[in-house]
Amino acid sequence: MFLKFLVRRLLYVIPMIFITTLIVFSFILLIPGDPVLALLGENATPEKVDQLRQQLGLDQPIIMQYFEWLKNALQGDLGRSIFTGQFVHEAVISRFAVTFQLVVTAMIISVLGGMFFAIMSIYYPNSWIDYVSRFFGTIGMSMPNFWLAMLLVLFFSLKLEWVPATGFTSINENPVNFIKGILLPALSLGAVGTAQITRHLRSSLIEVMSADYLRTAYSKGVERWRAIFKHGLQNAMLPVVTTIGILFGNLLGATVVIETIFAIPGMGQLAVNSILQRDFTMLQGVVLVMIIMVIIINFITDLVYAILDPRIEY
Amino acid sequence: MKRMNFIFIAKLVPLLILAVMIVGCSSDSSSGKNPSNSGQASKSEEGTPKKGGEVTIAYQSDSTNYDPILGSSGSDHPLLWPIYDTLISFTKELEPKPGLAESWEFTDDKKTLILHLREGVTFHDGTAFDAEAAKFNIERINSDKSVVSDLKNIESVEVTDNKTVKLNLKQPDSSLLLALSDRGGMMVSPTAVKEYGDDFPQHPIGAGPFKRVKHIPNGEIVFEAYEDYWQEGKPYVDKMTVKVMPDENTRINALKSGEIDYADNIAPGNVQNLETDSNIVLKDVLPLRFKMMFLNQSMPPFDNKNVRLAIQYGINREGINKGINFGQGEPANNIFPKEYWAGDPDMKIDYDLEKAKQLLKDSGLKNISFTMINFPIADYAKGAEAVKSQLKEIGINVDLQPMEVTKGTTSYFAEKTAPAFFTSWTGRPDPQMTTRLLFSADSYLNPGKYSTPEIESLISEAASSYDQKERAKLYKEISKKALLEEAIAIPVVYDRMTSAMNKKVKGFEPNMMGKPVFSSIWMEE
Repeated sequence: MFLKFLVRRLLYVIPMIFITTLIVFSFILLIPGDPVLALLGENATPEKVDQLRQQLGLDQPIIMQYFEWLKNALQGDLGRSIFTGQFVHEAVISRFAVTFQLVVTAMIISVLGGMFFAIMSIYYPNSWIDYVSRFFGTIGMSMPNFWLAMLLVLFFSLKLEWVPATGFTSINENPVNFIKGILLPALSLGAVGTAQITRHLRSSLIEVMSADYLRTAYSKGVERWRAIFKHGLQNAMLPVVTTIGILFGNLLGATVVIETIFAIPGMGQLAVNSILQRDFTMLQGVVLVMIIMVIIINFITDLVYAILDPRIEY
Repeated sequence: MKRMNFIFIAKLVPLLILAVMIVGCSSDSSSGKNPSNSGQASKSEEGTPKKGGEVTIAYQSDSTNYDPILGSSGSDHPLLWPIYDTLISFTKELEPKPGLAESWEFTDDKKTLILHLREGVTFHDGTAFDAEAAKFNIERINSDKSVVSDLKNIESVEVTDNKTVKLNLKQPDSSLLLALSDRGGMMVSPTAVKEYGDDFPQHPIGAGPFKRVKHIPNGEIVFEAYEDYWQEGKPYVDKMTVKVMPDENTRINALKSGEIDYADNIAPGNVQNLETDSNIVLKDVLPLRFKMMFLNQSMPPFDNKNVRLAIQYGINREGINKGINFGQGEPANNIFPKEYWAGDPDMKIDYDLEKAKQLLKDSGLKNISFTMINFPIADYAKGAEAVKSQLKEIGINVDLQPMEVTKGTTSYFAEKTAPAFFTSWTGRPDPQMTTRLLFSADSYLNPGKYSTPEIESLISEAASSYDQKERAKLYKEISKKALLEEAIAIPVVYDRMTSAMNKKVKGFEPNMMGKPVFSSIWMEE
């Protein structure tokens, strides 16, 4: 049964990748501004422009360019950057490692922070911590992450000088420096996630905790902590899992801003630079990897659903 | 089933956000245009240079390509010069000085340049730099693969002996010397080019003071001193790390918190804030770079000379300098700054409302309005807004059309969708290039293809003179005619270029190109 479900979900993934790449690919080529002119800059002459456009295959219709790219991509060849001549897959893989560490740290902060605030506010209703949680749930959602990032830098880096204002060290190079470097960017990224999870989990817990079966449990003498963790959380987690799945994609997108502020050489920064330079081959590579990541996370979300609630079928 | 729909939609959301982000996100200054510096560096009161140590630099962008013949952005040079020495170098006032060529002379017919090359120079891979290597490079720069067009006037390259090359020109070209201090003169190792082919940009090998040992694109570039560099004692530092930080605040934060030693390109607003910091030293220069309006003279209303002139005299340059540059720049009365050898200290474009209004009357046009492309970036947006409100006073209505840099440049120069464009002129190493590109009818950057026979003949006269005094005189004359009589372009304001560094960084000298040369830096304890 579970196997059949697994195979079905996997089969959904293939057209999903196909359709999204086609859409994104067309969007990319529709960005106004000519990569050839960006490339030639000060040296543009009409002859050079035509020659280079032909060389890069940009004179072909969009759909032809897409299939050409797809054909090569399926063979594992994402081409070279129009600008630097670097192989796209090399650049994307090295960047991905950085962004992945950042996003995962932000996710951990979101999930732990969100669960902490939600559970505390359920356990101590109408106490100060409940109010703090609710306040944070609202402020965290509405605060722009770049603004939070700047405040954090101002306070923790420039004033207190606890952590550096910029830069990134990989976890396998130096775990201490990794934590120092990742703390502020991950906090700025994770604030929204924490707030979202707090809100969703809190309201879902309120609903579950007033369910009949929990009243029965209480009447049989189950402690409140046990009730929340054992009976409440498992049932209240479903909407939270959805949130986490969506959050992952959002965080990937938000790295575009955060990586620029903290000068972290990750995928977000690569995406921004590729857009500004109209480095289409590089951008297609970045987008492809982001799409695949989001789809994989969604796939995992589906599996987690099925595990959390065996009644779910598709 | 209901739940599934919800989940399906929920799953699509991030993808849609991504798609919108890609189409919508495009407003930053990093592509294409670059800053320039010139000038008044503090001199040798910094003491005798010390050897050793490391320096960490924050620079605004990575090089678009590490093969000099494949990139075009003006902001690439500071990252290319450490790797590639040029045939000819330049002083901070932008006059040619010896580089890999020890000396040079033109023949009497002005159509041949003879370069005498330095002996004992090697590339980082051990290949000797000689006349054959120079010939290989110049032919490579003029090949189909290259996007550099500065040396197009060279018809052939002859090797006379091991250390002498002759460049035969199609016609006299006074911009050639300084073109050889730009991309055109950057010497790459012929052995490395043959060995790596298309992968050469990943293995950049030149004869410059530094070897590039590590590169994370748009992240970090690590340079190590080249132990066999021909210039005795140079470079001073053993290791130079350049971190790419496009955001100015990020650069400033990193400098203040000590992660870097040097930050380039500090805007006037932040200069005031850094001046109060006793640990930070600021060095600035008034470079060749200025903000300007391009006008397309083949489109109305600029096919009418009186309208162009009215705009020229209707702009309060002093006011704009105070307003957007906090008075730190200078009003642009010419396409060259006063201090530059081709500049004109006496030239002034008057701010004369009466004259402007009279010119509009003479134009015979009523209710004049036009569209102007501009960049939605802090300084540019402010500059364009200021021009708009000043022109309103003489009765011209400007419709601003904000566009991101690449899009704006394409629209104005290639698609010609608007008659005016508010942008920066980034400066060129030789005044001949600037003059020709802005005022000659065959220039790609003059989409109206407008000039006068008189201006054209002065430009070609300047091309065939190798005498700096004579050339300076010609450029003054061209500027006067093109700006005051024809208003082919509207210069607006010069921006000061400021670099910030901590007290340990010594020896840095800003130059008028506005492109920092990092190899003169040395570190105090």
